[in-house]
Amino acid sequence: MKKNERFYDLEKKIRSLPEPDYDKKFTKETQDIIHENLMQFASSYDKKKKRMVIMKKISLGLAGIAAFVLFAILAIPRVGLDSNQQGQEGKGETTVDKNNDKEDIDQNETVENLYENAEYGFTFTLPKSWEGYQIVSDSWDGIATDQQQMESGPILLIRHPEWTEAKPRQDIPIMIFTLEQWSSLEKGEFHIGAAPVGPTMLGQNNEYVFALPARYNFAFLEGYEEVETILENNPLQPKDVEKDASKKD
Amino acid sequence: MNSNIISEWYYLYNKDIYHFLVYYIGSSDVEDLVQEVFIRAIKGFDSYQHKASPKTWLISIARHVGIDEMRKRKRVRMKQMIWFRDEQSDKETPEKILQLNENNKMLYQAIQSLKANYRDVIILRGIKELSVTETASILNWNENKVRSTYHRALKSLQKSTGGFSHEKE
Repeated sequence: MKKNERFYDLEKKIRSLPEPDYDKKFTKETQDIIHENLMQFASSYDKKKKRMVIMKKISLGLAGIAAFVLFAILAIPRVGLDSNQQGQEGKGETTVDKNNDKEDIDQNETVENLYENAEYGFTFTLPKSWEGYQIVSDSWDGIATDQQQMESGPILLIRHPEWTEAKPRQDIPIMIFTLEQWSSLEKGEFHIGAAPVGPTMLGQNNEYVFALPARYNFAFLEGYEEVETILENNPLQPKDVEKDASKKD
Repeated sequence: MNSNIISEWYYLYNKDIYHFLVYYIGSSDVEDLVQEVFIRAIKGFDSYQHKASPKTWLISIARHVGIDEMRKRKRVRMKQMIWFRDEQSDKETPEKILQLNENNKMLYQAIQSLKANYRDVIILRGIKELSVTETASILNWNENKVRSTYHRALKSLQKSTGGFSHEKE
């Protein structure tokens, strides 16, 4: 007996099982109703799909903008300085200078962590960990005994590279006085801030006195101990400046 | 436009799907299921790969719809048993719809009592007269499995129908 012939009759019987009587049960009318339902569903499904595509694009766009804003907040340091954190009375606009300022470093580019300020005439030695520091410019205000603002001058903040708005670190503040201002301050003709003690001199050249503000580290920000150690090693070296060119009013 | 293609397929294959479902479910009220098959086709149109013919694709959807429906009906039957409810159905039986004679009725009932994969292959290969390739595509089997399972299914069917079909010596 051939294998194919074995179930020949059975297969024939199976194939002869009748199809349903469509005209009776699955009429043209029923088919059309289902068709209409399907077309309605297809149209609403198409609209829903389009809406979803648009929503997806919008949400992707928003996510992109949010990511950009977040990146901008984290990566671009905001210009500004909270003077309370630094214990200074500076009220003037602050400016941030990325370190590696070519003007300042001049010929000392090979000395990685030597900050040189040609304008006021000093250099400041920083540890290697401060590579990538920033210089923030601000100003100090001196108040006379009659509470009138009398003197003002620049203050430079050497800012640690890991400083962020969310997690500020201790800056190294350097107040700059003219010789006359310093002499006047010592005589008590004006004072800076509410501190009972005045700034501490770090060095002086033929035109300027460089000083550390009193209570500069009172906020005990991260890294304040390191700053104290840096300052203990006489990091500031004054250099004389040409009188006429650098004289500040 | 997807809806135009679905509309065309609907009029081409709705009777095929209806026919398949009547035998697959063993029930005559399958109009809603035909609609469900095409709704799933609309939803899954983007995933349709043109490797298979639309008919094969639609029957494979119908098979899944049928499996879901049978599970649902089984749950309903279980509930009815638990609550001792015996809901009489006025619906016409498939035997009536198909207007089966006594011999066909026996064969139909024997097919319905086969195990699932035998029933699948008998309905697709025997009743729907699909090719081995088409059946393999619908069941997601290889062609050899289709052949061997079909052979076993016929054997089992012959056994259960008794002397119905005479083996040729």
